[in-house]
Amino acid sequence: MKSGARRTAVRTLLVVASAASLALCLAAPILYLLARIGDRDYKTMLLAGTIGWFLCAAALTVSNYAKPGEP
Amino acid sequence: MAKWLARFVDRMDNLYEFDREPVVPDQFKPGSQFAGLLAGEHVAGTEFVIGAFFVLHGVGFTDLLWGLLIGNLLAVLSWTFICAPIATGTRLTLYWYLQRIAGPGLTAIYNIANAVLYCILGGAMVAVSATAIGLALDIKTPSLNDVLPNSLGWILLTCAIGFAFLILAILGFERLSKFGEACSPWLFAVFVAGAVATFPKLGIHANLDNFLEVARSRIWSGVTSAGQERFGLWHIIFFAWFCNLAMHIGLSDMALFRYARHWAYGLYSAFGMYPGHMLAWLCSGVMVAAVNRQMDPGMMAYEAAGVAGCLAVVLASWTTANPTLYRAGLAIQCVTPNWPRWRATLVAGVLTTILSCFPLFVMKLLDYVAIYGLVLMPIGAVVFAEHWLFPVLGLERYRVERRGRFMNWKALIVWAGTLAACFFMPLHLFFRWLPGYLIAMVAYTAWTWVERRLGKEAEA
Repeated sequence: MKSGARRTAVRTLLVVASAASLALCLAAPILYLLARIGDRDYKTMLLAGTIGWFLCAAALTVSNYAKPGEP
Repeated sequence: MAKWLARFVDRMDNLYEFDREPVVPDQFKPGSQFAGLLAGEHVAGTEFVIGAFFVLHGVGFTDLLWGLLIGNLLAVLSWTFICAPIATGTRLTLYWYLQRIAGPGLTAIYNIANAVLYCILGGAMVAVSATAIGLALDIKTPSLNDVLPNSLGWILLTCAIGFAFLILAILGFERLSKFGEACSPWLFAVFVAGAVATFPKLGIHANLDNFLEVARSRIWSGVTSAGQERFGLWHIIFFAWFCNLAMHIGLSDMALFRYARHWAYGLYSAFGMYPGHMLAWLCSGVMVAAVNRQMDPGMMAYEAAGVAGCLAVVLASWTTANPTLYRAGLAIQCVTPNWPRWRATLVAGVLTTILSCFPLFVMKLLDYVAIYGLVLMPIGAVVFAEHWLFPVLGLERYRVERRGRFMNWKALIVWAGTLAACFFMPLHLFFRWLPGYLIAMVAYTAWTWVERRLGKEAEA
């Protein structure tokens, strides 16, 4: 696979992963409100979504600045 | 003094050189970029404080909803009909357009005023994030009526955070601001998550059937907290309208809208006002009600969203403080010959850090936001008058530029006079800017008209 195509694939994957992280952040309080999970699980889910989002956001920021040819 | 100011102006021109030329059509940006940028820009750390203050000021639920709907609409219309048309008409930043109208001298003074106001705002951001980190370190946060720092721990904490923000700003403003933009959807999610998760603590049922009842009785109950003035519908309308006064009526956002294809792109500011301001303020109101109305953004967010909430407070503050430090540093760089950007940012950061120790700026944030907009508003009125009213009245525009004058004294006197008039107005602080804006516009136009008429008669 050429580096350009690989780059696009990685970026697409990161965008999908960040959307999933955000969905997790929004699903957590709804599950808590519906009493499907407890306070501790809600906060853990929110934190997990947050960590996922940050990893993706940081990776996307770095990939935006990476020069062509750089990994 | 005049020589010093002239040197200052030269340096400032060099710094802003890159955007001296009007934006050309191939640089125009699509509407989606405006929507994203404006939505992200208006979810900041201070939203945790502003929405909570509405609860403490005893705003009723109906007043709050109508106030936010109308006030934010007025803000959107101000961007659309005042800021964006001038920006798309000139394709210049306010800095360069003001030079044509008010001369380089007044533009320099405006920039210095803006830098000082930016540092105070940055200080409030640092203080907001200190409430979140202080929670983890068990450092007592200041109370609602504190003006001076209440403990050595608070001073050390704000200094540490201020320096951390400063070092990050020095190390890489551009990359960090891109990262900050990327954080905004997550910040929005944490605001919503925090509010929704607080519903059970306030007694709201899972099917939301008693939401209105609880909202009216336990959140926006119309009861003020001790020592707080009562706010009604008009306070909320005006606050939502002037919250970004410097950006729309004050025309700072010409820098953004000069890239718009059409002036109607001003309507994209609705993405910042409704999903941004309005929703964030409502969410923080819900959160503060669940912590017995304690004005402690860190604790509010922790109770509502755990560690992610605390992170949101810190990140939301930092993403706003970062460009604030950069802009203040840019202005300081103009008065300091041969200083590199990092050193100017360092000075701005030190000033911001010192100011952040004083809880006054965060505990009186609503008043400070009003003063910030008020101070810069007369310049927006002068530019509006010269851009729109002068051609209608047959008055020559940009005379200061054509005659190569350094300072438009008339504009300076109108600016100072308007602020003096606003100071003595027998009105609540929130309402003063509107008559002030009209005074500045009428005074500048009428003075110019009379002056030129007298000049013509003397020539005849």
